[in-house]
Amino acid sequence: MAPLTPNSELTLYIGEAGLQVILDAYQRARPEEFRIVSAHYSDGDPQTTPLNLNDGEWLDYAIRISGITVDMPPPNAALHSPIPPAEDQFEIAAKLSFEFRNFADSAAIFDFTLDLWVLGKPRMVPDGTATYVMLDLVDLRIGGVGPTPLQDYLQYILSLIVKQALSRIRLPTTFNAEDVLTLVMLDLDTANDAIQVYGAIYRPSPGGS
Amino acid sequence: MGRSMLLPFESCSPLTMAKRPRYFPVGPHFLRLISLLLLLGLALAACCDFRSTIDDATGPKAYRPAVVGNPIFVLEVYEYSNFDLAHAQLGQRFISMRNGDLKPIGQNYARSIILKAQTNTSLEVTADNGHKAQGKVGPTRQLKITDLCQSNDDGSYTIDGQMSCIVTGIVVRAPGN
Repeated sequence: MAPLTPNSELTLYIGEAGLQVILDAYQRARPEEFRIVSAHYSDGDPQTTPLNLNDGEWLDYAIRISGITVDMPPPNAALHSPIPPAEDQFEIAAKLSFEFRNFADSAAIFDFTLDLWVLGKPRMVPDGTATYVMLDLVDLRIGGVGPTPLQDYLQYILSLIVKQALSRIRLPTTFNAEDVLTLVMLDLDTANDAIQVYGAIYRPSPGGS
Repeated sequence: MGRSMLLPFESCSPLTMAKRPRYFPVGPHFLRLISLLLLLGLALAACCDFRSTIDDATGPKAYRPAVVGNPIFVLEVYEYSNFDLAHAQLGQRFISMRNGDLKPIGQNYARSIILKAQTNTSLEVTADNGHKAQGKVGPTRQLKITDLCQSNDDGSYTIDGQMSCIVTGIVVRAPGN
C-alpha cells in the first residue's frame, strides 16, 4: 500500500478491493440495475416487451452484466485487458451475457457471452463555488465477437450508450457541517490500486467577512 | 484702525477697547500654538486615514484576488501578527474564500497566505515594492507564502532578495494556465 501524501489537510484513500466490496454489495441489493430482461423471464420486468417476430411468435431476451471487476493502476494482469488503466485512469471489466429465447419453443435458446472493458477517467468540474466529479469514457473494448467490422460496430454503439450514461453522473465534492465548516474535495487521482482523494477544510471567516 | 487686528493684548486698555471694533486679541505666540495644533490635527487625521485604509477589509486599500482559468481552491489570508505561523489559530482574524466566492482582502491581512488547491495550481503574489513571487501547489495540495518568499526574524520577508512590507495582489491560476 502506498503511503499517504504527507501534510495534506485531508486525504481519503479507497483501495480497489474496498470499491469491489461496495460494488458487489450494491449489485446484490439492486440486481435489476444490472440487467435488461423481457417480460417472460422469471426475473423480468413485465413492462419490457419481447421482440415480436410474427403474430404469436415472441422472442424474449435477457442481457445481464456479471463479473464486474474494478481495476486501478497498476493494471491487474488477470483481467487480460487490451486497454489497461494508466495513471489517473480506472477500468471496469465485466461479462455481458446475452440470451434470446422463444418460450413457446423449448429448443429455441440462443446465448453468448462477451467480455467488456471500459476505461474511464475521473475529472473535477468547477461550477462557481460548487465542484463536481464527472467520469469520462477514455476507451471501450469488447471481446469474443467477430468479425472485426461487427466488433467495431458494437464497440461504437456501446461507447455511445456508456458516454450518455456517464454524462448524467455528477458526484458532489463538498460536505457541509452547517455554520461550522465544509469539507472540500480539491483533487483526486487513481494510483497504487486506489483512488486517492485530496481535500481541504473551508471554515467561515470570523465575523463572516 | 490699521493695527487693530494684530494689536498685542497688553496694548488694549479697557477704555479704548470699548470704542474699537471687537476683534479677538491674538499674538504671535498664540498663532504659533494654533498653527502647531492644526499641523498636529492634520498629521493625526492623515495617520487615522492611513490606518483605516490599511485595517478596513472593505476600504480603498483592499483588493480581491484574481483567478486565471477555473481553479479549484480554498484561500486563507491571515492578519499581520500571524505571519509565518502554522495557520491553525482558530478564533484569530482571517479571511477565507473559495473559487467562485472571492472576497476583498485588506492589506493588513496579506502577510500570511495559504492556498489549498489541486496540484499545479499556481499562486502569484505582488508586494508593495513591485516584486512578484510565484509558486506551484505540489503533492501536499497546499502552498504557503513562506514557500514563495524568504521570511525574516522580524516578520518581514524578501522577494527576489528585496525587502517588502505588504502584499498588494494575489493571482491564482488553474493548472496549465
